[in-house]
Amino acid sequence: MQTNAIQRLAAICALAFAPVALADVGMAAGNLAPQETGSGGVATIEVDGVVRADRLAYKQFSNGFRLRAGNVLARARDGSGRELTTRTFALRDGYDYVLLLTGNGQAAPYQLKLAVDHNYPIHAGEWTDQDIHAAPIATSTGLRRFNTRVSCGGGRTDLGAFEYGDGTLDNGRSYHNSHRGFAGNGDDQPCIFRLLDPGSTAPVVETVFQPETGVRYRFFAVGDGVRQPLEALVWLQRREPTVATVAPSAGMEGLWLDPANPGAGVSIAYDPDALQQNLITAVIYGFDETGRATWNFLQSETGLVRGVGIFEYAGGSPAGNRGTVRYRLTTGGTLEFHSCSTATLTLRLPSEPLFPAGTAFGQLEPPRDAIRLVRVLPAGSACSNSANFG
Amino acid sequence: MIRTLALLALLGASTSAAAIDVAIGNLAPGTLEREPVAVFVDGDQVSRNLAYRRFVRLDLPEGSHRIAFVAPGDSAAPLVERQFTVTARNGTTPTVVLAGNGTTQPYSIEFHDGSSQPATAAARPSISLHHLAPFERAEATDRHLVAGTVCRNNAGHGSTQTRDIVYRGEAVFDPGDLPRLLCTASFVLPGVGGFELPQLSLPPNGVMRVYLIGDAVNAPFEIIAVVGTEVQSISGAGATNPSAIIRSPTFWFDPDRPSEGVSLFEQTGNSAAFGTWFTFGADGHPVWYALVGGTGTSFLRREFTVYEARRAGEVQSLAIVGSAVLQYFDCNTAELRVVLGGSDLRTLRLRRSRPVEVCIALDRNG
Repeated sequence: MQTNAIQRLAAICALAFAPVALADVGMAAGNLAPQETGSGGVATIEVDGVVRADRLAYKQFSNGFRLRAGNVLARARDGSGRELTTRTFALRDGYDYVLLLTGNGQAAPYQLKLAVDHNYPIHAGEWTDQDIHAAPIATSTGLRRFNTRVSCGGGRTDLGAFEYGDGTLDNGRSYHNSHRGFAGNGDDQPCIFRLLDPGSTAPVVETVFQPETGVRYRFFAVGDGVRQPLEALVWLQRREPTVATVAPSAGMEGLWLDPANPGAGVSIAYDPDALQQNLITAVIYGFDETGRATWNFLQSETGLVRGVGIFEYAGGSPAGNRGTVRYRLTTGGTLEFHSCSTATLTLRLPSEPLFPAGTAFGQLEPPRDAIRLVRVLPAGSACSNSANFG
Repeated sequence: MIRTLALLALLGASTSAAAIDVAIGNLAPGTLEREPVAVFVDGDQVSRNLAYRRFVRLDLPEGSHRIAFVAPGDSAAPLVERQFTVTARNGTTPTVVLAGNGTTQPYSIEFHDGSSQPATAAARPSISLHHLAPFERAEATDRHLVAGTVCRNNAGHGSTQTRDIVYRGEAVFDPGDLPRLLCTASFVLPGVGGFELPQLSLPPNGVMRVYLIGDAVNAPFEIIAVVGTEVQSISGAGATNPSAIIRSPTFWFDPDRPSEGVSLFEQTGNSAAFGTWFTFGADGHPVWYALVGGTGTSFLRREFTVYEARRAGEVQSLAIVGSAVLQYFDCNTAELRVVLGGSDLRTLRLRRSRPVEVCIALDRNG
């Protein structure tokens, strides 16, 4: 009996702090390559020798498919079966990707590029976008750059400068700027996605679309201006359920983890006697950039500046001499509860690095930097009762 | 040294003349990284180690003086310096404080000489709220706070007053002349939240200064109440160890080791227990361990295997690094003995950070 109990708890421990064998990764493929006319313009994309997207027309995307995590070999062929390019990618458990055939074989070579979906929740009334520059237009100074802008109703969001390849892993990031996608209220208001020349306010091209809430969009600059015209392309990538926000309560206390980030555990405490801005405190368990287990302290701060502050204690000793402990802010963010068993911890402090060295977030990287938490202890999805804690 | 002796001689001489108590404080969270700071008055060092949130008293003659705050090792370049004039005022201790953090707000020296206090014939209590929390754009009017006091005596009589305040601003409140007033001071960001410090007992005939300090980067926001050089009260948010902040049935701390603790869970319906121990390595680096185990040889005893996790890229490992025994004494006190690497014995005398009346741990039958 005791052995079984320990095994059960060991399983919880392994779930919280050891590798999680997620089933696979999600992927979709797209053809954004303006090919020469004789090729028919279509592309077939294989992964590890298996055709995953057959004869995609230009600007066409495949349905989603699942793959095992790990290294995969991707190959693109034109309509005649001729190999255009191959490339190996390392796919991470639990991630979602878009695999794109880009280039025109002239200004930019044919190349498969990979973009990662961010994992930020979408709230009711919101949609998100991620943006990719895949328009290989040659200029005398290199490939053409753009500024990008989304205008919805009376408001607009400048998405920033846009270079060829931005938004894919080739540029070391999946977002072209710090906005990390745009979320807004699209109710009954059409939006316009625009490409502008740097320094200009006049759009070069634009696309009007009616946004839906709960949708992940991807915005593209496509076309080479020769075989295919430059376009501002809006792709409705996926619909997903929106999340709600609920006020923190004692029911949220317990041990939480992020299944997609093994080792990211959070012990959450709720103090009903604390000041309103300090109801939630937590200890976060993770790994620094060297892979060493480390912890930080979280304190809710609905007071002056942030939603939560992530603090580091350092310089402590096994003797616990409080006088030697250094206490400093490492980053800020938000901790948002969707229910008593699901929550999202996002880290953000505009003026500082997202994941400072030495903190428990050294292994996180954008755009997968939201920690999507589920509560594992006390077990079950119901709001916990403190009498169950031990 | 000679200059210091000269100053002491000067101070000794001036004490018999018109010497006035002056309070000098360090409320600059930016000094935490290299605390303490040294204080020079008229070129002489009067404090070698003025730590954050501390005040010192100095007797100075009436008249003009120059004060400089200097970080250790930077004696040639003070953080900031300023001229100020000491004047005798009814019931007021002239107060000089270092503020700012050197980043979001520059270092500054604030001087409060009581000139803004209520003009009354006889000295009586007053309370001044100062916004010295140097967060970004704190000086902007669109980020103003509302400073307030609620002062009541035990009959419920008193007053409530509020006033807008921006960074480096002062809000002076006259609580009236009712005896035995207890006040609550607060700073609120409208529509968002705020901080308050209750149970402030005003001095009978002097000024209580209440400061909002901290920048939430170098030091947390907190309220500190000072009379003269004596710190009367500090809001709980300023505690710099987890045991003072985390209040939950799942968290346990050793009062003698407040910077580390244990998050502990007992499973209902079986004898299993699980915990995380967040502590420090020998090098001072924060490190956590997973404790997995269950009922030991008695029903109040839990035996754990101690795991340490590491991660290298996508590969994560979980290694057994020791063992631990938890002995419950009751629902809210216990002792945890941990052996790491076969020899490193650590003992934590734990208290549950928010006590409970009933608990699973004592309900088990073994």
